[in-house]
Amino acid sequence: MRILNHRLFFQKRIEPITGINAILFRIAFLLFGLVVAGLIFLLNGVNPIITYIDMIRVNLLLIPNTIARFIPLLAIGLGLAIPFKARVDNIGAEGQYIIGMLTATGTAFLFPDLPGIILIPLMFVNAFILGAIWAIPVVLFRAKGGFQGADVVVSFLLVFPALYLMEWLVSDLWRDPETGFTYSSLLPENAQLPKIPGTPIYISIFLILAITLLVYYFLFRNIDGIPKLKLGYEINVMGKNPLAGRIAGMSFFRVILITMIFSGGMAAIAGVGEVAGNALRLGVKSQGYGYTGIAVAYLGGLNPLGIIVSALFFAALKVGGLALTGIPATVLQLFSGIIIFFVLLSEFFFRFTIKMRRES
Amino acid sequence: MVDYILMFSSIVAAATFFLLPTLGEIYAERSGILNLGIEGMIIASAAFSYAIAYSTQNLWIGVLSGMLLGGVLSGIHAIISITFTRTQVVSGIGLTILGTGLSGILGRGVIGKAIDTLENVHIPFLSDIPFIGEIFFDHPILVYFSYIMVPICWFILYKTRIGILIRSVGENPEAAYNQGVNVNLLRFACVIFGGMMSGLGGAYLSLGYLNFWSEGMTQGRGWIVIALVVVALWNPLGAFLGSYIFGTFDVMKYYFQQFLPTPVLKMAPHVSTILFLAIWGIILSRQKVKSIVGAPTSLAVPFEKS
Amino acid sequence: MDSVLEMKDICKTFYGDGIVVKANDHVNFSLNKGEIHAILGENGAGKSTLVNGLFFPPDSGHIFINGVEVNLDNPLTAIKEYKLAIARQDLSKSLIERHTVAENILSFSEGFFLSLAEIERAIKKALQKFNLGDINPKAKVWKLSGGEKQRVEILKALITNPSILILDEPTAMLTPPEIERLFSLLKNLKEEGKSIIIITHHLEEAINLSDRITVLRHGEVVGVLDTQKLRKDYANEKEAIMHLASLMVGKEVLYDLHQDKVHTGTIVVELDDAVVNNDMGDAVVHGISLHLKTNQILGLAGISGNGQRELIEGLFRWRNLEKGRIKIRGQDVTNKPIKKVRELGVAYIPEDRRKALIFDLSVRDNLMLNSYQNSKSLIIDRSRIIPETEALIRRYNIKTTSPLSPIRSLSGGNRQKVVVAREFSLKQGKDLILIAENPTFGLDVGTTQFVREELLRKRAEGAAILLVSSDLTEIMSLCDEIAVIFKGKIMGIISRENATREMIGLMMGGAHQTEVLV
Repeated sequence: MRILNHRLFFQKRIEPITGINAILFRIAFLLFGLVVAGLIFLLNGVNPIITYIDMIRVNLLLIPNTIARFIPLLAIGLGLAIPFKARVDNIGAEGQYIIGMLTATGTAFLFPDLPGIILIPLMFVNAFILGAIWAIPVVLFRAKGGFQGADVVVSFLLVFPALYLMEWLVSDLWRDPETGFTYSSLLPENAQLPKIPGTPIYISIFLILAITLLVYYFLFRNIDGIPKLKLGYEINVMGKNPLAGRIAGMSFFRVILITMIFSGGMAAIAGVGEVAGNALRLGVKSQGYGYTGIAVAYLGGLNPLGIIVSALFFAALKVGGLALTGIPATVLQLFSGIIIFFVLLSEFFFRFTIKMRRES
Repeated sequence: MVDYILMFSSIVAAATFFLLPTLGEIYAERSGILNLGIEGMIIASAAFSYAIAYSTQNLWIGVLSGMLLGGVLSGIHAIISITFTRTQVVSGIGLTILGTGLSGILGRGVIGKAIDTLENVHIPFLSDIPFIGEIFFDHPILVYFSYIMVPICWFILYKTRIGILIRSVGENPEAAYNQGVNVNLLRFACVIFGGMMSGLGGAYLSLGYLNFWSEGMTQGRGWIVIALVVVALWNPLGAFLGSYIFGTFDVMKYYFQQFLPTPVLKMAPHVSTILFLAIWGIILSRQKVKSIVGAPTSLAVPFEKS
Repeated sequence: MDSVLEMKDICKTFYGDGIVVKANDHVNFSLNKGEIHAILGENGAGKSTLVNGLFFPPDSGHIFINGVEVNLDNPLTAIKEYKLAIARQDLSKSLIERHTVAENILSFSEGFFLSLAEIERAIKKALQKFNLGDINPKAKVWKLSGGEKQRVEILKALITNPSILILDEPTAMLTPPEIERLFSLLKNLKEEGKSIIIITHHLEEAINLSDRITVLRHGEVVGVLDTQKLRKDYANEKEAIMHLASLMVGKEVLYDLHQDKVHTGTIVVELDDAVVNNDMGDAVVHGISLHLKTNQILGLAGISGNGQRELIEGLFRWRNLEKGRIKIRGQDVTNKPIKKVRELGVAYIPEDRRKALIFDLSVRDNLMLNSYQNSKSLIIDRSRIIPETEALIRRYNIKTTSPLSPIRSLSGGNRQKVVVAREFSLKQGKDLILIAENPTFGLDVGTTQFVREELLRKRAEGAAILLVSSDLTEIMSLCDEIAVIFKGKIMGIISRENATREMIGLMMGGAHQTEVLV
């Protein structure tokens, strides 16, 4: 690009930005993203500064709510980060999350008399299994799809059967006979997740935080550049150069299968929490956490510790969104989209810098 | 008794919605840029064109605004994936999410509000052919536009210099660059053309086909478009055929209501797309087939000038 | 003499990922009208970068054409206005495989509509005029052989009727008779008054063909020589070549390798009647049988693109065999996964580093790519891996700031050392089966020497080695037996004692062993 008689161009940095600087860089780009979102508000006649201040205020008042929203976002974001790292672009977490909700509800309605101590774990296990099964076509298409982006397309298309299945079940089989609205009956009490007293925070938070830390410890924490598990190393290799990995004898299919089982399972577990801990009954609409989870994973740098922070950030956006009058519920997706772009941009500037040269 | 003319006519109406963005995406992918943001561009444009048409009371300003928004949104994807050489897959996902978010804001004022939408245009002679005329030539003008765009897109891609350059850039950008082709410019043009066609598709959806605006109204059709490009084997003529097949799936749900529950029927387009892709995946993974009609070699590979 | 082209003070620097390479450091170059000027240098000396400066602007410097300073900021300016044309070295970056020959040769067509028929006619005419043999303009490029592709690339340059023609390593894929024809064509063009730049690292080519030679080393000009004078100054061609070689590589000169006598051992790999397809699904290996023995280097010589790659990829099960069997140490592995083959001790050094290295990961990550699997549990044995990788870095003298630096930050030679270190340590002694595909391609002299010595050391230790190479010198100096491949068939297998360069050269061009021995 030319400005006056100067030419702007990109030049590779001699040393790419890493470590703490990379985190600061990312935060700076996140702020740029919020400015851009603010401009869109402005164009819609909403004062962004007041809006952002309101959002912070709401969050300070409703910290427990923010933490409650944080639970599904963390589970989904973590679940997505691992296949993303292995270059499987699963964007169908929404579908796997819905399957989780359905499985939990179905399990609860099928065994309403089991004591909670058995029923609740059973709900989680069933949901994990079915969520994982829902994710497996993505693996097949990623490995054998025959074209770029097959995994993305198929994972997204799989959201709709899940959604319509939910619509069907809620409007027919599980419909609440008392009210007649299109939502299911309340879950039996022994299927409801216990909460931290006085807050809407349900107990899956401990499960999910524990999984996050375990994943960090076993797959992500490098000592002398080496992760704990072979799987962690294989994910690194497959994500960066599957060709070299496969020639060395690694199985691409096995690695992505494991990552996607985990991914589908985690999204489904988030769904269990949503229906058994938060809503307590099934409706016809889902929350769109599956899409926000993509942004959570990328903003967190595909690292469990980063994802804890970014999930909190998006939970705050979600709760803060309540403060936005005159802006619809999809605003969270607006933020997510913009933030994904700015995360991509920040990654570019990790490796490149803008230079200017005078031209004659 | 099924009204066959109505049925076929609604297949044409549904297929047009698939056809317009598919033609655009074929150009983008032929130039080597995978734009997975179709869904986002369509839904944002559908909302925007409806809102603009509502506030200006002028349908064509609405349609043009939809196209323009599609172009602008695809421009973001182009900047991220071409100028900044970032991964096209993630950028496309970002665009989808962004477009969905934007659609909520753009369309919030016009939910449930009705306006006069695009009228069916009568073409002398053609519309009067019995049966055929009623099926193919009793539609809004955008449908006719899609008819002529198919041969035009095909001709440009295969029979003109610019078409060969587009394909060269998608096959081997380095080779084209070395011969003095402005790779990035050509890719930008193709991606933005793709975006405008998606925008047009969105405008057609809300102003010419379904004639309303509601959140989430695309129901994942944008992703079907991406599948369609594959099914069409990156060829505009294939896009025509594919769009009509998928248009048929889309319409069939209205005709099987007495046999199957509605939510199950609503899955039909998505499930059949997945099945189609599975079959295509098997066919395309054969080397012989892939080398002749497979995806452009450099599709989704960022081009960094040395 | 008038100079048609002058390049002054050309500088070009490549940045990135921990390294800064001054590819051209204040280079001066001039080309006279009607001369053939050779640019000579090792891989990485900056030859291609220099001529690329005529199509894309260098960082600094001045370019004069016919005495007038010009600003060549776009290939089109160079091609259209100043009548420059180039046939590039790396055909994968120059030809579009899935397009036809005619679609590839677009540079002279103009206008919106395209008449492929017209281009096809022009191509046929030009092929005849320049005596470049018969190529079907309607053929898809991927259907062509390596030599045909190279001729298409040369035609692509010639067809614009340039006044300055640049050929970057034009002979890499040509057989000896084809090279002869090309050189006589170039001499004719010179007679017509065209000026020609030929880039090469073959010293004989430079001396036999050119009028002047510019020698580059590490991005700087180390000499401009008049070929006639060079011939006069030295008693014979061999001495002249020695002089050029020392200019080209500095003090380091390839010395003769010391090859111990070793008794060839037992057969460990049996490949029988293999038929293998290329990426496009065409059979390119037609029924080849090979045996690898311990304590032996079997050379597979041939112009690249004659099925070598597909053959070895079939051999270690990266590719499926359409027909035939593979046995390794008596076990039939024809349909076994690649992992099984690797466990039997098959190490592989590919020509394309991207198949062997993960550029974004660290040196350590790359060195442990095979050995991380050695422990039985799910956990990586850090206490074993760390000393192992550190020992490899020392043993192979890999120059890196830290074992945790990414491969990107290493120079080309050190990158290859990482591959060699890892693959050579896959198994010890007679347990190692090594498949090396042009292992010294693109390396500087020092590393080339190092890799060749290591190959011989492994042979002495008992490894069975298959060395695929298109470099005759390498084949002749390392191998015990030489198999020559041409169009997917073995033209013959000769022991080195019985082989001469001429014989191998003829066989590479398609002559059968029986014809050559007569």
